[in-house]
Amino acid sequence: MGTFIIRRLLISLVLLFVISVISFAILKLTPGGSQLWFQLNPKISQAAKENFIRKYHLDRPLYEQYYFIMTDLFGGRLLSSKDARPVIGKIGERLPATLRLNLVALLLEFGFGIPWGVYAARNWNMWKDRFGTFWAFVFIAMPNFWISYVICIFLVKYVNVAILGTSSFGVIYANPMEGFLDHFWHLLIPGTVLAIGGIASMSRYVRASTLETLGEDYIRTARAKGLDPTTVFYKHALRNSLRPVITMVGYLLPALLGASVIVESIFAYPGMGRLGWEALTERDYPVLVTLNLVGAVLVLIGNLIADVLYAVVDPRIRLE
Amino acid sequence: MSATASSTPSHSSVAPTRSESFGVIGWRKIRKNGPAMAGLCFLLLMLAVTILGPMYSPYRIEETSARQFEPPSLEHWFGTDLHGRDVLTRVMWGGRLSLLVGFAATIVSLAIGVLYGAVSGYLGGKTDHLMMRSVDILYSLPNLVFVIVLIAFMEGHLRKIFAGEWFGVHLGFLIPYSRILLLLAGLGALQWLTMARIVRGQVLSLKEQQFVLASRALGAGMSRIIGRHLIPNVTGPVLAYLTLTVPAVMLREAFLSFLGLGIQPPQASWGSLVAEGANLLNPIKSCWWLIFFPGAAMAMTLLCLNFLGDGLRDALDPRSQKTW
Repeated sequence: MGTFIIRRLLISLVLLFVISVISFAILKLTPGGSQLWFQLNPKISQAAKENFIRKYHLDRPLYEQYYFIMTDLFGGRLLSSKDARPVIGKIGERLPATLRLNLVALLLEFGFGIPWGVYAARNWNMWKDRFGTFWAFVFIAMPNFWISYVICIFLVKYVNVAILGTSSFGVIYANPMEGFLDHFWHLLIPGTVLAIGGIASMSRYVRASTLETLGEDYIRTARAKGLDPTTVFYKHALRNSLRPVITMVGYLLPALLGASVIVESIFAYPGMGRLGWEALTERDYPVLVTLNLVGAVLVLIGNLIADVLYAVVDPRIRLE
Repeated sequence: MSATASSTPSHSSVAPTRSESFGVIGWRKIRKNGPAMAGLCFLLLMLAVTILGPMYSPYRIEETSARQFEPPSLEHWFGTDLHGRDVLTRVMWGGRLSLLVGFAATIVSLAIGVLYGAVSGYLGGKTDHLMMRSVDILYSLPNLVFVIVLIAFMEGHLRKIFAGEWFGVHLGFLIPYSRILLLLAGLGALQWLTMARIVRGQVLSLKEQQFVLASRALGAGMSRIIGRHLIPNVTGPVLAYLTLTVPAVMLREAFLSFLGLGIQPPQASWGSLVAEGANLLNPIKSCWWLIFFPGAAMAMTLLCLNFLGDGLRDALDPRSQKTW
């Protein structure tokens, strides 16, 4: 196990290098590139232009630019090309908000997805299962951005509550509890929108894998030796059927971060996803390169966690 | 099939039941599945409406009028937009592109993913390692950025190719579609990664089973084992994932179009229609019908696809025979 983790970490470093080169290249090759910054401001002086080019090493060959960006990035000196603030600081101030939002979404996905799936499998092919299946498919079928807008219009127009940002604007709270509830409300709505698809697909995965486990020989054996169905279901089947679900943790986190780009933008929620979207539209690619790397690190860590967890819960799998 | 039967005469009594093909058995089962058939029927209806609807609509797609932002009425069932265009006609029109992109890109991803996953899982060892690490790299890339760059980069070149500047083949009629073709290629190229992983995972455990050993002992080569024994056995999981792939591709297309990077006006897809509606959203007047109807049409289609795919999996997955 130990050697496996160390070897995977080393491979991850190599992967990370390749990813950083590719994402750097993609951003450099994007039509317009950093030059767009000049096109937007026709009154910029020649001196300021040259100053900008020198500051971001745009006059150097590509491999040197890559080297400068990476050394600056890991030295914490990389500056945003939009407001010249350190990238680390810009991401750092957005990180807690995104983590909060994704934690809420993740908790909702597991908290509702797993029981829903187990319940559906327990009542396989009965009306409860069919009803659950119907709603799972409805949830999966609704586009994220569409739900966001529909909920926005509905809540603001017909319920008349504030939902944008992290708290109601310009409100002085009577007591801390009220403030907490207001913040929680502003977290819950985008969190729910973010989790809706995940809850539904989680319930489908759990249901499918539980049903598959129920078809195994050892379940038949357990039933044949006279154990009652409830014991077999919860003690024999469920433990094995939740195996693939654990590996989903590794894939859920990066997916959530990707989805939060759109949800955070629509709900004006100051998180990393919105930062990424702003950086993309503003061609702020020191920020973009860093965000891509952060995303890649999350995916790799997620994969590693999934593999290790898989081996922990399934003794048949040996990591070498 | 007959060769297998003749080489194992002791099993000749089993042969008649084996002679019915996978598809025939599957179709018989799925016909009994109510939700799946309802999904299939509604999907066909949706296809018919998107293909035939615009022809029979009293309004043309580009027909503008002075009646802006009218809420849904008997005259305009889905209301009218900024330019007084009939939203129903535009939604039907947009459905064509959304459906086309969804299905075509899924087929691309299916072909690449199944082959890649099966070969990687079957060969195992160093080759498998190399192939799967490449998938990891592609996975970790910001994948929508990849499509965006692909479109931005290649669109000009593709137009030139279609105009006959590069290879001398004139495909001028394809020029307006070059962006959609790139969208198809890009989305398909993204979506095969998960498919490859699923197939590989299944093949890894399947290839250790005795029927593969038996087949190898009878002298079957790699392509035969993969094609005749492994791939048919992964049909269930693959179909289960396909149910999620068509919607996923359509959602990504919608997402890209929503951001203004996929389908662009004057062409329309469901995603770009929602985007148009969202841009007109303001505190004084919110035209909910501009956002609600294209998104609802999309959600209904995806719902049908999910039911159909679920039924397909129940019908075709040999291991979903319930004993419980």
